[in-house]
Amino acid sequence: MPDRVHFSEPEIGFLKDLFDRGAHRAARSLSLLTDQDVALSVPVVRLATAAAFAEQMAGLTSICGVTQRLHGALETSAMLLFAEEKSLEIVRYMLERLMPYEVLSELHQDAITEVGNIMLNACVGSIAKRLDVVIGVDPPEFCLGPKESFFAFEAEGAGTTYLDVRIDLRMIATSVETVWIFALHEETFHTLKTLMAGRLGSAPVGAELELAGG
Amino acid sequence: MAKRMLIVDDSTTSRLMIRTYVRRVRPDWAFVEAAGGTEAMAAVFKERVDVASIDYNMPGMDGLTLARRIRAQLPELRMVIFTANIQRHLTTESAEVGAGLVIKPVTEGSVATMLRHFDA
Repeated sequence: MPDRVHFSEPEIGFLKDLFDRGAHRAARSLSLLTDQDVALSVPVVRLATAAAFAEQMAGLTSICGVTQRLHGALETSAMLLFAEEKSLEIVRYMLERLMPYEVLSELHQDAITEVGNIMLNACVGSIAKRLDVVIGVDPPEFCLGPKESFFAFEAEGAGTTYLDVRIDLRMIATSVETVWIFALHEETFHTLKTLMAGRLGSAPVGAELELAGG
Repeated sequence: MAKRMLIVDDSTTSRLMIRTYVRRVRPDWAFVEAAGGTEAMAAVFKERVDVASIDYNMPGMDGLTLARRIRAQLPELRMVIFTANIQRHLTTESAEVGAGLVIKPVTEGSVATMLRHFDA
């Protein structure tokens, strides 16, 4: 990871607040979709390397995810990861009122892709509003498989930094470990710092932030 | 009055949910479904359609582009952009093409909002 890629404490605080608001909006959408009480919070926002993610995900045997390309004010790839068995639970809550149980598994991939799309759009919409910018969101793509495959969506190589947004997602009967990942290429990183500086009322700063695995 | 509704969404789940919720309150309506813009345009030429629900974020042609093309062919068609995208510019752009804007997720409530747009 390049040494110059750092966020200051105020910037991390700003990002945490930004994603907390996004998570609140996403929770509301997910609650409507599943007809369940949903609590979503963001306990951790940090920079991380792909290797650090791989290590953290090593305990999970099966993960599924939804990737989306963002463009416009922020050029990045975003990925929302769920443990696969938990994603099936979300789909069950979402569709069990509408169709027989046997059909649910057939729709798992499509349904969780739509869940990811709705959650990410809720979060991105909140961020765009806070930063007063327009962020385009491409159609979602579903990923299923070993954790390493999730990093294949980025062809930028080992130098790419990732913004690791941990989400604590709680529904009545289940707790779902969920992660949002945003790939920050150097140009995107600086754009984000500039946008934040506009809101924080200062020039972009480059103070140290401890990197996960960095 | 029975109507024929076009549902355009690349998500099978969303199409199914929209159809299911609409059918619960408008059991006499018929449905035409399309997974994208090109398929939707073909359906519009082939079938008589009274109202349309159009997703915004689809591969190939986005929902607003599709709505503009449909509007050029069918000036009277009632349309709604049904989208997960909550950014403000979509409100303006949907209004410019004469379509309502309804925010996902697809629920009984959001479908009711869509139907009110069609009925207005």
